[in-house]
Amino acid sequence: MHSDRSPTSLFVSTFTAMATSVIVSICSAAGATRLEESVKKIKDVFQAVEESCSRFDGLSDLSRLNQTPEIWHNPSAPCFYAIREAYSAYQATRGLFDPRILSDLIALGYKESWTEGIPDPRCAPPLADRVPLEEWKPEFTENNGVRPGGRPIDLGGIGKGLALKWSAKAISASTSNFLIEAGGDCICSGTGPEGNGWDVGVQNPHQPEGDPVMVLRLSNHAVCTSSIAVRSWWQNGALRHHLIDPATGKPGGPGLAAVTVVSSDPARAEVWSKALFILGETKLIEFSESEGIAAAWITDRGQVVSNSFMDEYVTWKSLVQ
Amino acid sequence: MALSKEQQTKLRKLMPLVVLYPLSTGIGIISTLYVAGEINHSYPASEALPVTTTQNQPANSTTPSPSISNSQKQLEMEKINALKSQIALLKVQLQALLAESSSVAGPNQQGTPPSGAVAPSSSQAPTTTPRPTATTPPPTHATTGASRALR
Repeated sequence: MHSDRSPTSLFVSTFTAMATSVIVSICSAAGATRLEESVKKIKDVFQAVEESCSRFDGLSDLSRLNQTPEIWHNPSAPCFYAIREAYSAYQATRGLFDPRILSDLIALGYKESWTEGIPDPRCAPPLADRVPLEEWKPEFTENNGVRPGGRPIDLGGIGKGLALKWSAKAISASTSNFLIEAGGDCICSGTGPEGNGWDVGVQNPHQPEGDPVMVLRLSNHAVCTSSIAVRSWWQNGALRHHLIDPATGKPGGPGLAAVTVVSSDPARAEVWSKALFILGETKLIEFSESEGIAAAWITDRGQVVSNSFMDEYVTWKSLVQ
Repeated sequence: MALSKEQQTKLRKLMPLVVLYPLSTGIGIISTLYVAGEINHSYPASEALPVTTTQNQPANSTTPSPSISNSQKQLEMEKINALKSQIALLKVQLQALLAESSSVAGPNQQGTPPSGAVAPSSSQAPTTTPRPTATTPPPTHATTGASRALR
């Protein structure tokens, strides 16, 4: 990998996609025109993923597919690959990650994009845990055919992870030193502006606008966080959030406020951050250590913890907890 | 039917648009297809944005742009995020040296540091650039956390 030790220009561009801000930072000596072309490629990727994979867009391939998930469909390539990636993640996490929780999200009131407003507080979800879902067995064909099987799905963060992955690939031919941040998930390449890596702060979910609780130094990695700092709401006196435990259909993650994972693949980082969150505080450390997942988490009491795999990337950690 | 002078003048003004508009649209379509083709040929499908090339593919509907509010707050949020990133990067570039900060979690301390404030220790000589300490994080290039949804 090319290591750029000499100072280069830093180009920063921001745009909106998938209901969040996307910030592109590129270290390059290339002119503004070529850099804008790179940003345009990233925009195109995000737009393609959003148009095909958003459950909030009634005309997206995913929305049409969700109307009749029991039959065969031929969605666009981004949607097809996203569903296939979701199934791969379902198998890898042994069901901790399961995109079939869409009905549960809607039952909790999360029907519209967060940009349209918080879920209806008057919505009364069922009080009892629902029965665990049956094993998910979607079917795929070589020409992008898919039969999801039975239940509507929410691709959620995995779509964002794939958008980051494909964006990085789209611009890697023209630049090797960049960072793309999309709504709290990041992918970076190269050695950063100073030649010793990209420094990424881990947000404090209890004080999102304050200082980070930890700083990671990354070079060719992705980092994703599952957090209830933003997408949480009160409903009939109970705190709800969007990280649903597939086993119960209700918000999971006992004892946790946020989980951060570092991986080479942003889609897998996203999946594991969600899966580890669902596990909860007491099971998280043993599971992540045994699986070799670099993870850090902040408890609902404000404690900041990182496992041995994540410690390799930590350059600063708050002592105030 | 003969046109009046006024009508002839208006028609002469519109003629360039009648020619240029479809021409520019055609150029835009051709260049988009070319770029898409280049991307498709450049990278393996598993790593790059997949491009739909199969037959019997249902015509993708023309989806409207994401229904994101164009409120002033949304624009301000974008500007703020971009400015925050630039400020953080400028801080790093201005610093001559960054001390390696402790990464060991110590005993809990009383109180919390002021958010964003730089508080040099009384035992250190004042410096022009902030140094990361136990309570002061170093500048960062990005942040991972809750999706900063635009409300």
